[in-house]
Amino acid sequence: MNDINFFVFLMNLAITVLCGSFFLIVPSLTRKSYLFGIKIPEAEHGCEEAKALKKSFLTICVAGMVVVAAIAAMQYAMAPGYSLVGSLYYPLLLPLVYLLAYVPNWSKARSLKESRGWEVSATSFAETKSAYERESLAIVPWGWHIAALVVLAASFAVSVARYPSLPDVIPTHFDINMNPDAWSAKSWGTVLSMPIINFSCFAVYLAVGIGIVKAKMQLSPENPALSFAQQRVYRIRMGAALGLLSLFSTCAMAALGLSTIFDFKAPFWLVISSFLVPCAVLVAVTVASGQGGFKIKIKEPLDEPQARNNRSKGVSDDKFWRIGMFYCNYDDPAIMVEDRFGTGFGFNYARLPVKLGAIISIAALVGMYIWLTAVMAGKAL
Amino acid sequence: MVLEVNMVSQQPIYEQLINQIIYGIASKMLSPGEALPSARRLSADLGINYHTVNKAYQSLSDDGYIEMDRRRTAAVSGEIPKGDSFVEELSAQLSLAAAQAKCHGMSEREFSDLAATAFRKFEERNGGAK
Repeated sequence: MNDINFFVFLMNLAITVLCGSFFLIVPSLTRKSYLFGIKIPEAEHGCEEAKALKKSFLTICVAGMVVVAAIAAMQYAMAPGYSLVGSLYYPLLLPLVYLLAYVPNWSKARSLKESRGWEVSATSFAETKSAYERESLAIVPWGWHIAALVVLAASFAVSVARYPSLPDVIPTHFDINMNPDAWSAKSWGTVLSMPIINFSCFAVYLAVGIGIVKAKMQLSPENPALSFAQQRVYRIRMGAALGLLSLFSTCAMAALGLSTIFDFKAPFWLVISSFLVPCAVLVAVTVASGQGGFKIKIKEPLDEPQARNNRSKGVSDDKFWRIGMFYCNYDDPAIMVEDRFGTGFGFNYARLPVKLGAIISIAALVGMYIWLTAVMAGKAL
Repeated sequence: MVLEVNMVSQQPIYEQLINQIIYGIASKMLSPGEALPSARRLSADLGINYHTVNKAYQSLSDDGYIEMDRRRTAAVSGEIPKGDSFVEELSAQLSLAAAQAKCHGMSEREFSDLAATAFRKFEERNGGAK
């Protein structure tokens, strides 16, 4: 049992270091027009004060990571049996570290903008060309998703067909060598639970894939035409990476599901790499593209950027961004919006579906934590 | 084409949208039959109220610049009619412009030269676009 605890302890350390390393590159993935969620002129991005804020963010992140790793090490030394329960809670400490590093700098960025009297663009842009692609979802990689759906349908069909010939007890959990270590009585619920979980994951990947195409397209005021071309490539890349994740993870989970009802072992490395490889692709796309694709080089000729002089001190959408992180604008019908810090997408919390989704997700997360804690604490040695 | 709205402008946002779309059609940046984003999509991208975009689309549709189908999707009209009401409205606009020119001491020649230059700009752009 100690071996497993040591393995889980190493996993905890690895997760802490991996997440922490990602935190460290977040400022460099952020568009130059935002400083800790505050809209600033792009030219001021490299000023001394802005650099100092970024440095303080990195310092707090590193310190926080060291503390979390130390807690995990102390827990392993004193109560190794609780490593599995710990693996539930260390990932919760990481967002806390992130917020501790972010919030003071957001506040300082806000004061900095005020004290320096920085003026930001009072104009917002929209490219009409995106109409066809975004209304018809033409850039979603449907092939990957449909292939995933075929695998799903097949795994459902096989599970249903196999049901009558199954023994009364079937394995429901596997150890690291893919040998079963938990069993349940045969029932439709047990046999179909894997395909149902698989389908739920697929539905999430598909919804995110569609959401990314439809998400609000924030074009940079310095050169909207270039910004649009970059956004388009960014969304195609993200969509493809999600399509890959959708197909690979569906196949891996289908293989796991079928190994509970057929007598074969799905190799552990194959199952894990089916998740890790597409995730690595997703991270690579994110790092190479930057927020909204601002790092992408565009080869096609573009309209010359027009000289724009419409900066203003008075207007800023900073007020719609609670702590520069959570967007809440009742006038804006957008549901998904680009994050202002780092890369990726967030939500407009003024919209009813988003509010409901947030409440359901939080409730589900809390419920899952209570349940998993009870299960894992019961197994702790 | 890139549409832009200035949040601090004295000009109402729906008017800014109407004017830019008309400029876009005249200069062939928007071609006949080309789909425009839905009002919801456009208002989301610009971060403005849905009804503002809808008002602009409705006005453009009333004047024949765009067509809206039953699903409320908008496209640039294939042919924009030169009806009596349009001529009447344009005449009223020119009348105000002429009055302003007169107040500022412009001659008839200067005024008509300015009008001709403004008109030619779109002809040139059309030539360039092809």
